[in-house]
Amino acid sequence: MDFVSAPFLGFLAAVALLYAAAPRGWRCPLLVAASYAFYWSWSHWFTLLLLGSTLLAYTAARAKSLALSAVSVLIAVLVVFKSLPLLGTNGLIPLGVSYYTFKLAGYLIDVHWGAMEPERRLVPFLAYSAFFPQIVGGPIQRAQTFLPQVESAAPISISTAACGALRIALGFFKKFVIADNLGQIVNYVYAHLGAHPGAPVALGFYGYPLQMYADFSGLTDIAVGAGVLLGIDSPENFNAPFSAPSPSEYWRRWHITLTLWMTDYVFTPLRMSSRNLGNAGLVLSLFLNMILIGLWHGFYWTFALFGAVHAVYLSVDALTQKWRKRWYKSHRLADRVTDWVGPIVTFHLIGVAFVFFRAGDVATIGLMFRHLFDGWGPLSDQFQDIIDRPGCSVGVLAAAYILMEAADLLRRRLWPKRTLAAAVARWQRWSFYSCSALTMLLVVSLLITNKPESSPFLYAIF
Amino acid sequence: MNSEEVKARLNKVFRDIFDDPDLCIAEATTAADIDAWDSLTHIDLIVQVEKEFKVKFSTGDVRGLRNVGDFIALIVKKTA
Repeated sequence: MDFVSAPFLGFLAAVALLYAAAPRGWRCPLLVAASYAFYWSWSHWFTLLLLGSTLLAYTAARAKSLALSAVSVLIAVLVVFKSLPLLGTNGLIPLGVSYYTFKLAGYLIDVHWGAMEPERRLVPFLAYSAFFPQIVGGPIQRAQTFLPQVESAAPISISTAACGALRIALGFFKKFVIADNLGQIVNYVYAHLGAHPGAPVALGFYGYPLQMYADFSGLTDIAVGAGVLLGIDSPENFNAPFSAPSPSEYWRRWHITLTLWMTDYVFTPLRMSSRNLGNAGLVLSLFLNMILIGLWHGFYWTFALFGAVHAVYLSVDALTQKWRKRWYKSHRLADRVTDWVGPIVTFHLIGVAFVFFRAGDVATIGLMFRHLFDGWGPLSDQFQDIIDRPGCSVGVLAAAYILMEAADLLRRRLWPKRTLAAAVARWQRWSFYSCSALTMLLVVSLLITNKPESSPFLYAIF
Repeated sequence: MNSEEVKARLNKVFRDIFDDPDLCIAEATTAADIDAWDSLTHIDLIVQVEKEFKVKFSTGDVRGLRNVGDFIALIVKKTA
């Protein structure tokens, strides 16, 4: 069942209605049943793998001394599946295996460190690893924040449901209006590098980070919105990443749940082990951590290089931090200018790293950078045809992107206060409910009558 | 060593690491309250505290710290 489909929205609505109507004690089993039904509809055999991995983590955590051994087994399974494409095997990779493996491994390590007690109740734990809104593309929620929520099985108010529905609609807007249309331009550019002059190449360079953000944050919006309809608050994955004034700040705003996971379970242990090596230990830990983040996406050289490029940025950032702080103290004007220039420079650095991520092979990376500065020239008929399509024109895409950023700004401000929606005047409340219902009706009607030719979510394949 | 003594010495380490002579820590202080306190400077802080108090921390110890109060309690426990 595809996230971008009317059947998924119908399934979600049915589960949410059942959840709202069910007695408290039935809600958690209902989430488990719905999550496993969702996974079963995708693959019967891999449902058994999800169940087996979950039971392994549940049992090993209760024995405590087996926790780290179970982590090794889970990571080994993940590595085997990630290695299949390298071996020339065209086997399917289990849906969401990177996400649920990290959820379970993080839980086991926390139990091993004594940061949390093992979960005694099996049903909430089954819901944790399989929770269907998060299984396709995260967020990677920690057991400490998920289990208390699923165990309390909170009832859902109309205002919360309306907020969830609007959040899902925002995700669809990002995916259909921005990501899919930008993707047509980016895909053309990467498929025809060297065949056209610099301007389209530059569009591909600038377009891909924006496409990736619209696509991945759209997927997160749908996951977070769907979670709210089922009584679960999910962690956020994005916080205005392209406003980050430095690469280190960027990683605190992009794919936040993966960054935090890697910081807690990979970087910190590495850095603690290498703390007596001084700056060499810092750089070594950063490189290993970032290359592993790259390889989490798949075992390809380009992903490893993507991680290494970010490691270079982060190392320079960290090693010069104290020096820069002192210099800016005595150069106030430069400090203020940096506030404006920092996000622009950072965006370009991130753009360079994204070329490594998108390229697919090392030769394409070289072609991209060689032709990026070729200058303006006549556009090919094919490219002209793409940017002449209504959804792909630069003006429409720029307007849609600005609209998305404005919606995200509102979302960041209002989402934490969503429970207050019930406290406003009745006419305001019902206007809000009506708008939410109409928006969802529009989304569903479009999906049924005129389903766009949508590509899969970029982060749903990891 | 009692909590107040630990807090006073810890404050000196914080001022040194974050290069801020006016910095005053409290039990409720968290990484969110100090601009430069991130996962990178956190380990510098740990190394400096280990030197100052002549103790050794494990990764599990470091993972469990939620605020300065937890840090002080951990140092008191390690130096007891």
